Amino acid sequence: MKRLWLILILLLFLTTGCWDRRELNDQALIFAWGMDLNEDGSYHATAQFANPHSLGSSEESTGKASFSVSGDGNSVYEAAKDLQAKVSRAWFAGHRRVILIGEKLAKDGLANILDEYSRNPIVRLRTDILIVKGSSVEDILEVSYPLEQLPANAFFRIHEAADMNPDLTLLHFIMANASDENCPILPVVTVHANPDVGLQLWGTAIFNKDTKLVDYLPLKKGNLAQWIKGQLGSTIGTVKIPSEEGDIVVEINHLSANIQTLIVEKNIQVHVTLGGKGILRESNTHLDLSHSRNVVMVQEYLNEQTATEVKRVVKEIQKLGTDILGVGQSIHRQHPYQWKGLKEEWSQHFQQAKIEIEVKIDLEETGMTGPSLIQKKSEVNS
Amino acid sequence: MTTRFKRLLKKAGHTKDEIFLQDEGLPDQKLNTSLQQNVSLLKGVFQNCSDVIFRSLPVDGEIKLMIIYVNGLIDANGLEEMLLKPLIMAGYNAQVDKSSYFKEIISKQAIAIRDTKLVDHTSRVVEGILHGQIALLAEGESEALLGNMCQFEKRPIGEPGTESVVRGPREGFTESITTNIALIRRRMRSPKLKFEPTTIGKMSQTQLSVAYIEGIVKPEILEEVRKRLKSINTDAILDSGYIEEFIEDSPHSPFPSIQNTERPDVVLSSLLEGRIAIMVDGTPFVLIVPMTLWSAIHAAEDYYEHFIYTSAIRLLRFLLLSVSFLLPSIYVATTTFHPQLIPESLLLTIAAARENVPFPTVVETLLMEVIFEALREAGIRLPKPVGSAVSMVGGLVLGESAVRAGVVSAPTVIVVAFTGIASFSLPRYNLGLAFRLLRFPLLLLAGSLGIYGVGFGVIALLIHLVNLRSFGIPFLAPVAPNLSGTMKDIFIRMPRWKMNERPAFLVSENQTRTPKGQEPYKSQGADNEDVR
Repeated sequence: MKRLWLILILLLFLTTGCWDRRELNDQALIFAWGMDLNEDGSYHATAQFANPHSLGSSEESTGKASFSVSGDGNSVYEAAKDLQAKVSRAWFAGHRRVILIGEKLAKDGLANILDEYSRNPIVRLRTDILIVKGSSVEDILEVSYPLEQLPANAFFRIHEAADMNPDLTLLHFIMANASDENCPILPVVTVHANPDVGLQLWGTAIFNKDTKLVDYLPLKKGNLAQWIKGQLGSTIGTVKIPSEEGDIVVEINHLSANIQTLIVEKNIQVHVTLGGKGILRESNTHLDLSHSRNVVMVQEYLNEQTATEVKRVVKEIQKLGTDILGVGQSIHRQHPYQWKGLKEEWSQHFQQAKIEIEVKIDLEETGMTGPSLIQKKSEVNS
Repeated sequence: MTTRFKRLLKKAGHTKDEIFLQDEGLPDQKLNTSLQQNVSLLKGVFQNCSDVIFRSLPVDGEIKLMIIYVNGLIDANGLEEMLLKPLIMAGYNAQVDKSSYFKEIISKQAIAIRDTKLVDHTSRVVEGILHGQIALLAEGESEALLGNMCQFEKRPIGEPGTESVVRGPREGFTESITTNIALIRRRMRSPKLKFEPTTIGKMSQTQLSVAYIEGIVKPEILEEVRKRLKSINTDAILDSGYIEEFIEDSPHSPFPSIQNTERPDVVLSSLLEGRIAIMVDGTPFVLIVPMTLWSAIHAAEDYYEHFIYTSAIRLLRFLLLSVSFLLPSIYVATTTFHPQLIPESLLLTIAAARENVPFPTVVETLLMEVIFEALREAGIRLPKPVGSAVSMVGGLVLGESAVRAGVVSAPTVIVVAFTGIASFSLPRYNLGLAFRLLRFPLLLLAGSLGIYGVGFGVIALLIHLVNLRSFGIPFLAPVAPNLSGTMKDIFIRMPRWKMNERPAFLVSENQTRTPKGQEPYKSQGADNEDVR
């Protein structure tokens, strides 16, 4: 009896049918995925595969490191299966970190394609999902980027270098979309005119509650919106000193945001406090920054001018009626009972809300020199 | 033994033991007074034993004395100086008065041999001769004089080959048990250190010695050791490995439950922890019981080097232990079942390297592991001058060319090489063997079931390990079962002034080893303030 069991267990290892063993050289590794809409309304999927023959260290590597294949279908998976018919190996999406969405599909709404990206267990939820502006998804996946072996990594790394969290893009989008309060946003890339560089992070795309693309914000404005949301790591601020000719540029780190809301007889008042620590990186003025009164002056102008700038962006967003700033979330948390009344018509309420911006940046470092070394001594204003 | 053979034996009227004991059929009778008869009896026993020398001493033209010894087992110079010369000087005058000749020469101290005794049975004479004693027979005497002049060629004390240290004593055991006991005794001048002699082996009559420290050792364990040794019944013991197989707790487990060492200092430090050493004549390897798994990461040098460094090295060894066991399996499981677990750029490198390899990863890894084991085996067995050729062929030709030819991928070679290095770094060779062996089944599990299989294998191994015992002591003690307070010398080593007590699970009563409060500076008090 014991021997029979042993034989049965050994036989188990020979039952090849139920194995999911798959060698690396039997798989095509997908690193980027693109979705767009065809003229007839069907989906057009493009996958960028790594070409293992041209990767690795050996000098024998030839050819492009990646190639793209497209397929069509009425659903994401159907398009993917159509795509598989053109690829000699089973594809593996466990390392897909970038999903690109065409402008046309984004305007049509993403609701129908997002499910597959969170349902399939092999697919990462930590994916960077980007909108392609001004070119087709298929074309942008053909663009090569000189620094990265795989162009797919360029999207991710550019996004990362802008001090945002590319890992969480898809997750944030799904979370914002599922909530009552927020409207989702996505980063936008375009093809750069310079063929050597190829890619450019362009800005932010604003979506409404139906996951339809509403409008774009250019990079700087998008960053400010993300600051309010608390999803930005660092940014820069340019300060004009009225009494001086040139500008002062400040790098702002440790960004923080605090939204306080007040509801007075159906009027929503929002007070946003933005904080940060400033490092002065460039001064083209005659100011001697080793004097603290000058530093205080620069800090005051910085706060004032940044607040004006943010206010302008907020106005722009308010006009669209899409709450991408997290104001609704703050109201929900701070006034849970009133929120029930506001929930239904939040878009209109958001448009009418009175949003005040206060910026409190501490200018902590002014660099190695006091006055600019380029200035003559007589020109320096102490 | 097949049943057919048993039946044959029964027919012949033999039981198993009788066959076995036939070798013992020495004539056991009393010696008589006739030298002639005694000698012919012994000559019959030692027929065709060319190394047994019968040397007659004629007195007044008549052979009245006979010296019998084994050539090479006795001190030849001493024989001349201390036996032959005095005997010739004393002359033979048997039964001049009432006392016997032998008693006379002993009382007169005519011969200068230490450790003499009189026996009157042939079996005792034979036994004495075979143990390297000189037998002296005389005409008219019904007794024989046995004198101990045992001396034989032995290897000088050298550095132990299997456990070398950078810092620490360099003496290793030799094949002579007398030397080995002396090596231990020299380091421990206490009457509490006991050596209990026994003899095992019907034919080889191998001397054993059970060493322990009275008052520290647990009597139950000591009794168990005695009991198990007593039950051994075999013809010859050629190495302590013979003993080990007879007395170990789980003979079917790949894990050894008995530690072996070539170093006197290791034996002594084990004795001080309440362990028991079994020394066997004819081999430099001394057995130490009970053994725990943690000795796999403890080297002799750990106690001579600084404790911080030692602790770090122990953690490294623990890591290497896991690597030697797990790395190939994890490599196979992740690349073939779970590529999403491998960082992207590493995956691309592996994928690029694997592109032209004709075998599945598990076969490839198995192949390389077998080649590696073959190289290692060849390196051990071959004569030293040829050994370098093997490593050349193995390292350069197989490794480099196999990768270039695309038969195996470079990452696999790296994984197998690192595994090999890791398995070399374990101080206990026999424990390393167990892990070395077990990584093959684990590799197959990984190749068929992925990480699930690896987890399954590791859990099975852990279940096995916690069930192992070595002379009643759990193999994973004191970690599992968790005996807190005895962990000062397991994964890390505390400084000597912190290790105040012996491991409680091994020791009977004498617990304190180093009284507390001996930390430098603190114990020396305020007097030293200025010196600082």
